[in-house]
Amino acid sequence: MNHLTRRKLLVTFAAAGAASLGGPLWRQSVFAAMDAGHKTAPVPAPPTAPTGQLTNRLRLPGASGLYAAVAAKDVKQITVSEMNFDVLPKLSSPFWAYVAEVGGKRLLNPTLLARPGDQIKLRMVNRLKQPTIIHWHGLTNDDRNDGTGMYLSEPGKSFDYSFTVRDRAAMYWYHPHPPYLTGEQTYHGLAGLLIVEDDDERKLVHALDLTLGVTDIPLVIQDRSFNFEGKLEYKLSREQMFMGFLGEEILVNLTTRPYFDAAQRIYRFRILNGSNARSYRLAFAQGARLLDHYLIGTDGGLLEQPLKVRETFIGAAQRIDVLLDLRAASANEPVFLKSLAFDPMHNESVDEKTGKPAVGAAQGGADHAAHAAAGALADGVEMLLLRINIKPSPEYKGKIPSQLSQLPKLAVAAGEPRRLTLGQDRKGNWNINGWRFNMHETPVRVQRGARETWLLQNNRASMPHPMHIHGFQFRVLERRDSPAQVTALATRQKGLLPQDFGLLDTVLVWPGESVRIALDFSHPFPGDQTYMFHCHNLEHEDTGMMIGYKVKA
Amino acid sequence: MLFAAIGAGSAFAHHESGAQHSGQAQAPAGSQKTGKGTGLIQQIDREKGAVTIKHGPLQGINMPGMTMSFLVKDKAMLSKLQPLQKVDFELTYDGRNYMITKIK
Repeated sequence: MNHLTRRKLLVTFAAAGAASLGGPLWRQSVFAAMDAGHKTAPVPAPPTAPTGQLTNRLRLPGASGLYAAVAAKDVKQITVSEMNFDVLPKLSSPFWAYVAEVGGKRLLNPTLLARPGDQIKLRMVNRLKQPTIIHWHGLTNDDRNDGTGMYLSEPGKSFDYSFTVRDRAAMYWYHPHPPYLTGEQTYHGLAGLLIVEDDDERKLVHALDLTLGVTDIPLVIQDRSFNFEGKLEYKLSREQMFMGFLGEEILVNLTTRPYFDAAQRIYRFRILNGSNARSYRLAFAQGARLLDHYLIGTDGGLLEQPLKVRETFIGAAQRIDVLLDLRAASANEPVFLKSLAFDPMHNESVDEKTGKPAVGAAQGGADHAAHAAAGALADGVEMLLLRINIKPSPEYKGKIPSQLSQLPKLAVAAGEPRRLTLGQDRKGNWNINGWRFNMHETPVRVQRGARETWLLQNNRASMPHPMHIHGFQFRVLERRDSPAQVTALATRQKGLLPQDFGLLDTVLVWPGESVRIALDFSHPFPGDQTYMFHCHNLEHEDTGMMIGYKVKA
Repeated sequence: MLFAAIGAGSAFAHHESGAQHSGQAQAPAGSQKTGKGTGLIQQIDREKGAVTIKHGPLQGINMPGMTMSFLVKDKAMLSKLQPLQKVDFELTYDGRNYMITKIK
């Protein structure tokens, strides 16, 4: 079979919805079977996303157990534990969790609630067999409390956190951040939410009569794979590390194939893409109709005004806060939260100058197909995430407020931006300006109190990178050379997406795209502080697409 | 890459023919073998009487672990099964077809 024919075949095969069968594990299985005496290899079934069989009740924050909500200042200890947990119904799997004991109750990955000004003092005890540290994702902290990975807790040891909540109301999250191990540890279960409330937030909750876990619903979207016994599995080849993990099942709040019973009223969904690597194109659909809804917040909290949207791209680690008015939906059929099909833009093999396929190279999704794990759902396929059943309910008169909050004034630095190019060395290593992670180096240095513009330029021969900065939130000023599927969702203002109007700590940068962001390096912490800037595709992070940067006092 | 292309080729051909039941292998008929295994249900096609299982090594059939679609002897066997349920199953292989005879 010549090169061209093979490529064509793979492309067609990927388009047929079976994009991930070519992976090394699958090859191993098939050829082992042939060796075992089968004259024709048994052909594995193509992976497909669930098509409506969403029959497990969505897990939600309750009084105890998984995601239980608790005041952060009441949590004195978090024990990072290995345990068994029924991720799949009635099937126990090894699982790692943040465990807190509060008021005689045992909480797993508790939803921590705080207000600006709260003092959080807690001890993290590491019961894993490897070093770990908690990163408070999105919060403004000094480098010791940030959990950059420069301070680690070895197995059996502990680490004491002590910090003040300084940020706006928003849904932040906490997860592991040890060098080279973040993907594995997060995958095995370590991730929780930290919700900060303030007066603007209370006004909204009051106006819409929202209750956390009832009508204000956090949704943590993650993809996972299970072995044949229903146990979580994280085994990646080097090629899969280069792409990032893609699982076989999409879980919402650690629920496989979930549903949720809703009333005919306004619901708030605070959505975290907690996946290691996968992006989603989120939309609410009823039948073939996509439902209008309102984006009200992003990583760093409420927007100034609600923005009507129909769909949103969300990269790993990003959050969106949306309102969906189910009074506008028909009560006769379920609404689905789904990820619409999109081009995952695995363009690693294109020619950098022309953006066209390099001679002799497989391209795009097919190239990725050849590296994805056996059975994984291909990146960018349409999939159902959550079924929302609409139940008869009393009349509800809530109205979405026209004004939500005030954002800090946007102050843009004068002069040339600092350029940071996202690329690869064609040997399987992602990098930032050619730099790869070294704990002892800080190739970027900024002055405390300085304003800077950073220009994040993703190469054409690349894939989407969700870029996360520790220590500071930022604003997006402009997007250029965005792919058509992104431009289609953009506003008329400098190519900005609706979520670019909020405060962010993570921004998804597509191949060939340039994103200008504004940073203000003011903070109250004395002395030099070292933070991380990295891709939040956790396999990219773990294989070196991360740099330290120093804020000089 | 070559292996991937060959593998993809055979699966693709199968897909094109509309016969996704990979139990319908093309080998000549021979003596019937029986086997058993454990796995996790991925998909159920009640109309066609097929179930896709991510299974471990199959004893008796000498097949390594993989995800495969199998026909079942009687469609009624599927009535109580759910996706992502762990099952123990027995099957036969006559050199052409795999057929699940027991599943719970």
